[in-house]
Amino acid sequence: MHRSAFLLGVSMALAALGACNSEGGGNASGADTSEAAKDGTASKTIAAGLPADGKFMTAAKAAGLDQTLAGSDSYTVLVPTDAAFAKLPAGTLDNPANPQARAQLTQILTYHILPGVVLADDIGKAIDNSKGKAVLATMGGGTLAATREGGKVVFTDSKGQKATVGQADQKYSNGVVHQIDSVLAPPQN
Amino acid sequence: MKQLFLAAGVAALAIAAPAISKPGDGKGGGGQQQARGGHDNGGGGGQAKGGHGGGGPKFESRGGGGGKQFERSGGRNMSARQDRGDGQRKFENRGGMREARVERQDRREFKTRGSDRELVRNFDRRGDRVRISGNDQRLVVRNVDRRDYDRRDNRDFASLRDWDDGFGNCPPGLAKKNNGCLPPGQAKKLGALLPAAYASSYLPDRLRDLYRDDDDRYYRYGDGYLYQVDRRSNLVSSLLPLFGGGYTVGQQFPYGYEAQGYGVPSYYQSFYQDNSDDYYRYNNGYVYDIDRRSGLIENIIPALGYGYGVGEMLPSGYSSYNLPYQYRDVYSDNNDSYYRYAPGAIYQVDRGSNLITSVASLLAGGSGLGIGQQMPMGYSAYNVPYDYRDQYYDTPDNMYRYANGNIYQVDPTTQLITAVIDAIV
Repeated sequence: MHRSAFLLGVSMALAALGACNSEGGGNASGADTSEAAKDGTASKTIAAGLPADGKFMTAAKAAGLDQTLAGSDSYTVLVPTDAAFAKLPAGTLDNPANPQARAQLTQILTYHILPGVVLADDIGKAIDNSKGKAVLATMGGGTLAATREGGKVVFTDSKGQKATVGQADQKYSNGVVHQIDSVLAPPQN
Repeated sequence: MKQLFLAAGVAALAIAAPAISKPGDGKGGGGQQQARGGHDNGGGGGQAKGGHGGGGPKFESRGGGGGKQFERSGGRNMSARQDRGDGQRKFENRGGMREARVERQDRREFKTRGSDRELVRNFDRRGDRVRISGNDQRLVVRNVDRRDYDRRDNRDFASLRDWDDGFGNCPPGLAKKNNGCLPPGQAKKLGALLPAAYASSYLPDRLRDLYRDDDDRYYRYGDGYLYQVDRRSNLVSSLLPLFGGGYTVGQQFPYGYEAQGYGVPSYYQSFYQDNSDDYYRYNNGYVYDIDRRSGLIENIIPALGYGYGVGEMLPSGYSSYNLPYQYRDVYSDNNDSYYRYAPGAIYQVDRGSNLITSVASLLAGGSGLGIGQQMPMGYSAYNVPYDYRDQYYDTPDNMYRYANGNIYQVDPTTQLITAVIDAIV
């Protein structure tokens, strides 16, 4: 059903993401990020700072979580790149407007949201303090494992699949965003 | 990954199918006659059921099984009438009794925290943010009501997970469709022309942002379902139940379930206890509140693990304001929306439609976030919000962790919580 439209949407989102990357942070959110890194906190919320047409925010909006990320409570969000979403099997997030799919979507998204502000440095310290593997609680109820591989922080999900942190410490007024290169899979019911 | 999502798809299917999986795989007893305690489900009904002010919404169904009509009235009493062709059934919510229970519950839930909060709270308000005042490093120490945070006890959650192994098989009486299991009357509507009565039945305002008409499809609303219609063919391409599963309030709970001890999982038993008026049954992620006399479903409560979703109706049990104290300054009811806490999140609900419009805040799980309790697993990394990092940082003697609007002071050796600091949002 409307598969071509969906694929078109994905490819457009990808194109948008590619443009952002090639500009090297020259866009609004990138500038905000670097400013934030200097000042400690940015003025924008996570919801306002992430690209509204990106796959993550599109999904968050479908699940009603965009308001959560626009609120004043603090979260750490692991945002898979649009390319990471594109790696999902076709149809996984096809119709987030469907309540059945939405429950699943909510589980996936809340598995990428952690309580409070966990900066990359904090994760590093936790890994060191925990003999190489830190366990992090998620808002979805499950936990993630954080390890260090080749100098980069790697998250391992409930199925043992891994996601590597790309751009870390994008600071916003209500939390911090770390980009990851894969979508993590929450524990299944 | 693939299998994972396939499995997830099956689980998702199961959500919409208030259907059989394993009779007798009874997690939790259910069925006991006990005085109702804890959470009250019925809750007055004034807000969650029925319309407000300008007349309630009226849902009409013209499904295959004969006409049904649900009328929702404003005010505190809800009545539903079901005309089944074989006679009339009628039940009325016992508004007064339920209201009294709500009050009792409120007192119990919050009294442990009422007085000491007033004594120790010392806040500075700056704009809409609340901070602990000044430089006195004063710790606001209090006992946290464990119940508020006792969300995802893993053992009980596991029992929920084990409950359903339907794997997409529809129970007798339900038809399997691409979107899951639907009552036959509803299933027939898929691929059919939109009922004429719904042609101008537009979505409640707050839902229109979520389900926008576009070049391919448009949306209409009726009898608790959202109809997605393909513009080219003008046929219904998807039916989205706005209530849990395919059953709606006012319907008969399926025959056979009540006798088989489809007990509410143990986690929920303290919230939903059978009583002389109602009994509760659990199926596929939903708790059904059933009127004893009529056997009709009075209320559908999505259970933990599935959570509520945007566009769903919040159960009537949430008619009274119930936010944890630390969030009350942030989210207060207003003319457009009200806020309710349910395990895992604070939801914003539209007053007009009583549908959830957004998740205002997520609340972390873990049982026992109180003084003397062990910090749950998963808080190995320092996570204190920006504004408090200068004040609360890890030392050899103390570490600080953030959850649910509080900063917890934890002994690094024992991992026991030694103080709770208000630090909201």
